[in-house]
Amino acid sequence: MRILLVEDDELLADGIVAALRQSGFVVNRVASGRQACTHMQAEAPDILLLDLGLPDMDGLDVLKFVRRKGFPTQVLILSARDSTEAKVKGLDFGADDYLTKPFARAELLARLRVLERRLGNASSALIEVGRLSLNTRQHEVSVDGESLQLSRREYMLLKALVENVGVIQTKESLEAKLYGWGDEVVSNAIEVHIHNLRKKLPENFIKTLRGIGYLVPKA
Amino acid sequence: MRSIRTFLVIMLLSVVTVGNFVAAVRGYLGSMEQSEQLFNERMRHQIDLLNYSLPLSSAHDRSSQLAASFPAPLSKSGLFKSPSGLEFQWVDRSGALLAKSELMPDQAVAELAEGFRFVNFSNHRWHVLVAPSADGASWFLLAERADQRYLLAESMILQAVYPILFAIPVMGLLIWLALGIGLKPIERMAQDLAQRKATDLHPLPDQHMPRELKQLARSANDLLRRLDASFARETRFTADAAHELRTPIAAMQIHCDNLASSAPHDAVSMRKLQSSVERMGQLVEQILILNRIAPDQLKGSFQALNLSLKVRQVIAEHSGELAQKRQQIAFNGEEVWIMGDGFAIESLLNNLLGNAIKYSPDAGSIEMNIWLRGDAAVLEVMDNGVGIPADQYERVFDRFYRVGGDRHESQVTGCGLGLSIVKNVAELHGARVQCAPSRMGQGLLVMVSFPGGFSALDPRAGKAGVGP
Repeated sequence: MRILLVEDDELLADGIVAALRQSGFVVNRVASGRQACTHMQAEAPDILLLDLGLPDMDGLDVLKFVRRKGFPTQVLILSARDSTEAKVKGLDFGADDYLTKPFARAELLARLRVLERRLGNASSALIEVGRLSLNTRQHEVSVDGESLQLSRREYMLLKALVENVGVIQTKESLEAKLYGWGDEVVSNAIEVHIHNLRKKLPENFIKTLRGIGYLVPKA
Repeated sequence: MRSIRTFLVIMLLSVVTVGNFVAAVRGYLGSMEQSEQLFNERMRHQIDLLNYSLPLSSAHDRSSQLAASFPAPLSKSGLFKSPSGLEFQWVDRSGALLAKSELMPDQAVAELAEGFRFVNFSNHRWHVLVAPSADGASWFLLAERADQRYLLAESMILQAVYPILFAIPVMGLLIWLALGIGLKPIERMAQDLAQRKATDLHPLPDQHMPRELKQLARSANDLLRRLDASFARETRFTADAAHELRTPIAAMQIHCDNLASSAPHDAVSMRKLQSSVERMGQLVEQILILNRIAPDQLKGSFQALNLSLKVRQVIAEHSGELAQKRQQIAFNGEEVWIMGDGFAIESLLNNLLGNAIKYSPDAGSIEMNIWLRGDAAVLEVMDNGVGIPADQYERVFDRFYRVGGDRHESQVTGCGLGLSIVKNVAELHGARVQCAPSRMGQGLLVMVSFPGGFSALDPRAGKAGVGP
């Protein structure tokens, strides 16, 4: 995984570079928007870590450039701008994720793993939680190596839960992932799918938090 | 000068009084002169009258004792008694008395030459007119007491001046009332300023103000504008400073995390360093939140919010910490909506739940409840942690106040701003926050009751769609 970090703050950039190298990423770092564009044209990285407040131009303009040129790069914005508007703007301009400063190293690495998975890298397309493994590229789920037959909605539901292992998913956020706008959602649809999934999964794999949502606990 | 109104009333009244007095004195002097002429004229007429009457009636017996034939009866009958006490003498060319009124002496009182003069006799000062009779054979001396004449003239003039004295209090009252009306705009402006809240720095409306006040209003508005700008600058400075701190804190945090990932797990200083950085980051975030939920930032951004959905989302966001401490969380509640600001409500919930997690032991329990009580949406956050002593229930909402100071027995990092954010958000929504002992045997219960809660069946809930 080649990563290009665009960050003008020397100290922060050094810290991020060190963190990423420790985790086995190949990192290049530039300190300005212009350098970033030049670097992109010479060799497009898999992931672009982009700060918005750059000395020579706005990070969003770098993002526009990347998208206009059609580079197949995943972009993660790292910014101190934390308002909803700033996040929405960043994502609308074509960023794949948005992380506000300050952030924990663990969260940065976790988000990079998600982007890696989206890129379809074989090793990271596989999510393993306890006895269960889910391959996001082949849409295959297996328990102890034995594959399971799941409906499309059951698969999507399980993927949403295991992708966010240890994080509670509210009924509303699951509905949003399973159904598009305008789809008629039966009020207990999620409960029904969970019920069916549980019959196929190891016992207590999905935990219910009454009134709040569902959770796949960390193994 | 205590009061412009009183000052002006006194000044105006004094000016009017002095003016009237000068006019009255001038009028008095003028009137005296006029009345002098008037009286003199009257005396000449009297002489004419005497010319007609006396010589004719006495022509036959001029030689006889006229002096005796006229005396008292004539004067006593009042024939010659004018209101001003006119007396007369009639003498022949040699000055021998022909007739007289009663009070006159027997000799001619003045020199026999035509004209007016002042003469003293009978203990009084007299104004005497000496004139020859029509045939020139005798003289008339007509006398009038000078003091009586003066008194008469004076009383006539004073009759004209007195009304002015009565008019002064009436004028005073009218001036008082007129000034009251004239000074109304000042009073209104004062009231407008007095009724303002401390945070209201809107300019004064100056379209319908009198010219003199417009200047004042403009100066006041100018001051308000500068004040507003300096407040805004101060607020912006706090926000900018906190914002600018994020990048260096991010650098500290990542270096710290890098170090920690390679340091042995029992490195105490490493752990403390990490929690210090974390605390500093929290402090900066809390300052930014406090800044962002200031009343003037949120004005007009209220909308229908599904409070229950917000609670579920906030619980989901904290699932990492909950799992780390193996704490049980329960949420009981109907779908309750309120009118509010999404960001502010999230901050309130984040802080209440964050505190519950921080101050409850590992494997502790947390409960969040929502229900409608009458018109109020009541939110409860309850834990079985260390709680707060009852005598500090009020103080914990103060900025930077931490129970037990910085040596909190729970060893939890915090910055003392969480509950003041909760209080600010509550105040912004007109809600009431209360602390109470938890119903779980130990720990804290925080209750927030929002006015104007409504259920999902309410049309207002529909209008906002599924809610943000």
